[in-house]
Amino acid sequence: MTEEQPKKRMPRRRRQQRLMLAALIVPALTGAIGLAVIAIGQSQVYFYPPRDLPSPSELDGRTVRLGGMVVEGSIEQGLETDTSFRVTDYVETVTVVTNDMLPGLFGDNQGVVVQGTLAADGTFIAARVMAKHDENYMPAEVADALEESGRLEEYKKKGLVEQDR
Amino acid sequence: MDGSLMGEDFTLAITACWVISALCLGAIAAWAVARYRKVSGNDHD
Amino acid sequence: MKMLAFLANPDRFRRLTGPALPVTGLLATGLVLVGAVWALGFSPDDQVQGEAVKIMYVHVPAAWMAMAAYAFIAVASLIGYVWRHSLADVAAREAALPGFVFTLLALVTGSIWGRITWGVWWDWDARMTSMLALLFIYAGYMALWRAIENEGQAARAAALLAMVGAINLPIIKFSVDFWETLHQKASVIRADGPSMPASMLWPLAIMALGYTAFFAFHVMLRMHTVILEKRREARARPARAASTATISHPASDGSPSGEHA
Repeated sequence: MTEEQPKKRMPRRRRQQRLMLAALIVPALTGAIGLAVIAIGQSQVYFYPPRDLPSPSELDGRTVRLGGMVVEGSIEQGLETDTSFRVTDYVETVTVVTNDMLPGLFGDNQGVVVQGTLAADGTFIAARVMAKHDENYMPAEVADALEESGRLEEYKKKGLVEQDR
Repeated sequence: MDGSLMGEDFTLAITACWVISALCLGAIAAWAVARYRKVSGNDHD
Repeated sequence: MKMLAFLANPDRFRRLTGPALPVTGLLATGLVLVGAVWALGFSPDDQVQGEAVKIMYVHVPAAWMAMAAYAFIAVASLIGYVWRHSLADVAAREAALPGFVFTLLALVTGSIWGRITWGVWWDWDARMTSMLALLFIYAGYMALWRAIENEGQAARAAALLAMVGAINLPIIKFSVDFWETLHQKASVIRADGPSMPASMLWPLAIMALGYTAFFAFHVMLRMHTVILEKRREARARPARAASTATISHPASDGSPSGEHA
């Protein structure tokens, strides 16, 4: 007995029924889930860039996140474990103070995401500091060679080399 | 703060990632081979 | 369609893929070994991450395979569901374990890598959350297969779950573009081409191919095993041997009520 014969005798209608059922249920559920995800995603803000950061009164002490680039030269070590620095999106700038340990990638002109509260005077008090890096990869040797050949500026503009080299 | 991890040693982390990957994939491969041997060993096909 | 019916016969499947088994197994081993040596011994450090970039060579292939395996399951589920192609159902079911393991590896290696670069082991951004969701979908899919006793019904339920869950794949892929995330954007599969030099792309590609060969090997081996197990089962029950000699759903025994989708 072969497997093919009974399958051919199985009504084509039934197969088409299943295809139609799948074609209805799957997109419907998929669409519903997709929309729900998008709706939830839009309602949550992962982090505010400095220009979109609400005022301290609007935030009312809520924990929020702020993301941007660390302004070159703005990092200052405090007396004990606190550090302050400024975060910018090249439109607005916010001053951040933190007690948290800083990640190794934290530095001038590096991406950063901080989580904490906004004080009344506009200073962001960060409980957590996370470094963010971009999707570009460049071998260290190549970056060195570019620096030597003087083509570093060209590559910096293309965003392929970190800014503080 | 130089914003770079160049020169830092991450041998432990790198080794952990590679070893965990090898162990997990090796484990399911070994399991699949064992199950196959078990069923094909006694088969007079 | 003819190709599908052609492959539906388990014996034919075994004859066709039998020689491919040791080849893919060796290919997987060879590629991963070469990729490992290249990545660990001969690839450059990154100007920003230093040697931490070497984690990429196991994290990225695992993440890619986590999604590829799921895509495989979704397609096989569709074929099995609509054409009642039981071998497709088996293929889907057996791809779940490697897919789950790839997802777990992506999450674990990603966590270690993130601790080094971002400073945190985990974050609930869109990329990481949707990958975690993938892990749960895999787990749910495997559980569903085991939960329903009737194999035909289990196949149908699992197929529907797999197909609906496929929406997660574009969500994962585009999460870093559609939402602000801690995880960076794509470095390889992107509109402007890879933002990675050849010296890193090559070992990455070899590792990815090795993982793909591994997946193919695992699924084929499992399918061979299941076919042989069912044959053994059929011989142990001679009265029903005629209808279970090849893999078939109980409903195709000719019962009048037939199949309900």
